[in-house]
Amino acid sequence: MKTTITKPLVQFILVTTLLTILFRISLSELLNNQLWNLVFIPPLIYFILMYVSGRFFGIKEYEYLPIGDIGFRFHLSTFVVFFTVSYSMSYLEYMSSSEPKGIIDTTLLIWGILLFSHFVFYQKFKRNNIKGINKEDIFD
Amino acid sequence: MTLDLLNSWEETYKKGQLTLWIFLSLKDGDKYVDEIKSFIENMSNNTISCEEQSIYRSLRKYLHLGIVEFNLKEGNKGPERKYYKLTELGDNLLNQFIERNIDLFYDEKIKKLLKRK
Repeated sequence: MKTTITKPLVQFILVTTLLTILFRISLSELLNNQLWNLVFIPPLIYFILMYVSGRFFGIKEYEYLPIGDIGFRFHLSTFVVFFTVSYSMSYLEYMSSSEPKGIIDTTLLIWGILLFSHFVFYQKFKRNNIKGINKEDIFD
Repeated sequence: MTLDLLNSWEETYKKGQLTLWIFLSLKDGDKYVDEIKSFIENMSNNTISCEEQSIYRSLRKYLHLGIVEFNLKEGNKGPERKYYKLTELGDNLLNQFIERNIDLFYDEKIKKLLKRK
């Protein structure tokens, strides 16, 4: 099993794609129908389900082979899927007109900075790895 | 109180033992997981008990790191089994570990100290 693209990661990406599409559609629907009081629900449910999904597939992968990347591959995958879905829906004009223009760009910028910070930590953490596995996890 | 302390000490001591026992079982000859488990339990007088899942998990890591390899051989009944063995790297690793951590117990002074009154 390679330490970059693993079966649990691919399963996580598929679930993330589905959840992100559902999140985007439900958010746009609520905005289109001007149900302002309910717009907090899709992001909240999306956040909870993404957390549960990441934890589930992360633990599954760790139990199979404890790859030492402090969750960076899962984070990067979420980032790529989220913006691919978001920009695709925006391009196809599926997004609500009530969503401020440039909101995706702003999110991309802020999230991109966080992702880069995660990458820096990952690079530091990686120094303690042997063939992708953290030294402390090899003979645990 | 002594028993509680002893159990606590043994629990910590045994945690790090599985790797050594797996390697020793493979030094004894190629084995599949059931045989590794039996070897460990028999040779340790059942003081080390291990779940098959723990052995599989350890073997997957050692396989990934090139410490062990396996050959597929037919079992007595049913499907082919994975017979694991130490690679050259695994063999060197075990030898160096023994040299640095086990051999010192053969020192006469230590041997004397280990003898119970």
